[in-house]
Amino acid sequence: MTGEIVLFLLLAVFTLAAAAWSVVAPKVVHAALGLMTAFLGVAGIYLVLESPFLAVVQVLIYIGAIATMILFAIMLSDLPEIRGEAIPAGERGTRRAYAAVPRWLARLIPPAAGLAFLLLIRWEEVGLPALSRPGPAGAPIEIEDLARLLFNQYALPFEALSVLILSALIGALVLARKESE
Amino acid sequence: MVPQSWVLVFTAALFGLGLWGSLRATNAVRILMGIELMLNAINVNLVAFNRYLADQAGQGQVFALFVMTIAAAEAAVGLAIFVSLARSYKGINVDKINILKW
Amino acid sequence: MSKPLLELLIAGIKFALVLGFVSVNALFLIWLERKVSARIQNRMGPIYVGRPQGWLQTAADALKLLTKEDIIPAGADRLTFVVAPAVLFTSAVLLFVVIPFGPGLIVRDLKLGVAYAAAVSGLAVISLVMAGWGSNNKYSLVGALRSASQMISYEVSLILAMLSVVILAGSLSTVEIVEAQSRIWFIALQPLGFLIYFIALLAELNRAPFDLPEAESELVAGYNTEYSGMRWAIFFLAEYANLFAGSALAVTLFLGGWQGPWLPPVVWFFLKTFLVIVVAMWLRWTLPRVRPDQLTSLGWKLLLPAALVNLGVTGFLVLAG
Repeated sequence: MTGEIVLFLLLAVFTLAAAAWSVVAPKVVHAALGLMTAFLGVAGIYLVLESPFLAVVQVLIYIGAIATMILFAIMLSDLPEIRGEAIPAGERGTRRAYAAVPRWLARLIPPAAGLAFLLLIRWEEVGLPALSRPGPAGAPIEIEDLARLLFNQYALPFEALSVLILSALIGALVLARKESE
Repeated sequence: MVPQSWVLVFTAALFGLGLWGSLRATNAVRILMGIELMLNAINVNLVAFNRYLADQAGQGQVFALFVMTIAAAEAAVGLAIFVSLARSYKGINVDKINILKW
Repeated sequence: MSKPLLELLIAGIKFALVLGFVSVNALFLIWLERKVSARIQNRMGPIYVGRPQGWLQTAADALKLLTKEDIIPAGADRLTFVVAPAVLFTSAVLLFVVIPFGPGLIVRDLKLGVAYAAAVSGLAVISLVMAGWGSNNKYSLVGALRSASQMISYEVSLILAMLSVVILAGSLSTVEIVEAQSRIWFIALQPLGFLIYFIALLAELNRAPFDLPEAESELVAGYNTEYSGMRWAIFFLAEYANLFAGSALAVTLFLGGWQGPWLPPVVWFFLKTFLVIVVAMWLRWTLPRVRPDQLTSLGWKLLLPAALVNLGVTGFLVLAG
């Protein structure tokens, strides 16, 4: 039980730090990467909250699609304000702190990734919450239950969403294409 | 089990950071990023409430899935607008994009 | 020793095993690629280090790369430049969690295995974009943009092709998918699905004929132009680890995984996986590179509709009986 709380606190601090960094980072690309890291932390929080399917979808949609799209758009519109607002020359402390980040990150990533890997392998065995918990009826919430909800009770919103996605797709195409032809 | 209040404190902080980020920025992409952070905080909240006091299994998770889908659609349209703005205005500072005022 | 610690120790041993396997296997694959390309071009390939077939050539190359100077270009964005290779390698190693090498021989049989694999493989593109942008080099940036657009075009078809298998097996767990193929391999039921998966996989792995992000005749070396020494070696290693993982997933989803007569299951698994890998290498060294516009129009106008129709027909047939 305590393992769960420790993991939650670690993930919460990690996520908030990444989110704060994404807000204050001088370069927009760094902000986008901080945002991506925060998404990853939220995926971990979903695991602690016993919702593995949401964790997977979070990585698939938020990191695989949204963060990629944001990075893509940033690089596609290569403007001075995106290249990065320069840090004022007076703030040497800030600059030094900012330069130290990559060193620490590069050192932290391998152990963090290793830890994530270890937890994935032996999640329940080290005292973390089961990845599917009993619902009110007693049976664990599995992906099948979510599917049943999505396609029975919420079938109409689901279909409306697919129409929304399609219109967003077409809208994005129309907005972003060049008007030359 | 993690106390629910802890989760709520976390999501409140995350939401606050997102709000701060989107209010502080003049760069349109940064505003979008702040909005995405806020949506994430809301999703965690939905899942947490589903876990701690749901009367029906999985409802909150389904809602979070809907929010994610809408967030993806929103990001796609928003970024398309930014790309076309960057092309025609050579900038995406939202203070300078005021053509609809006239 | 308390139970959680013991469990963590077991997990650590598995982790070390996977890490060792990934590295040694990647060295072997690089050697294989050089030999295959040499044979196709009527050359010998490496023969000197580790006679008579040059077995040790890649090990020697790896040692050489590790001793080289670690260069970060002056104009580079240090943060993204340094972190990018680590991200790519992490995503490659995480993929190995759900690959079933044989009955019981899996790091962890996740219930959401296939969805997990799709999610983790999506992380790779972030690393390529980071590398391309962080290098502060126009060739790298073009390579990064190409890899992002390529991934967006092909990820959807890839996942749809996976989903039609999931419908047939009725499970997302890789082990259960393999067990569902004990009577008939899914390639027989899903020939179109396998074709879509394989083409999309080649595009995901940035391999020729879809190696636009690192097209050496146009972009020097694309996103990894500025990389050298150890960081470049990590990119290279991760690329081949991804090739193995992608082919292993193809075997798991469509070619019956470890199933097969007479030989032990693990042998079958490796035979099939290396068959897929050699076919991918064969394609790489025989087909010319496609243009970017051909690549995106193939993805959106041909593969995506085909994958959707395939998914719909599969779902209908499974429902109908």
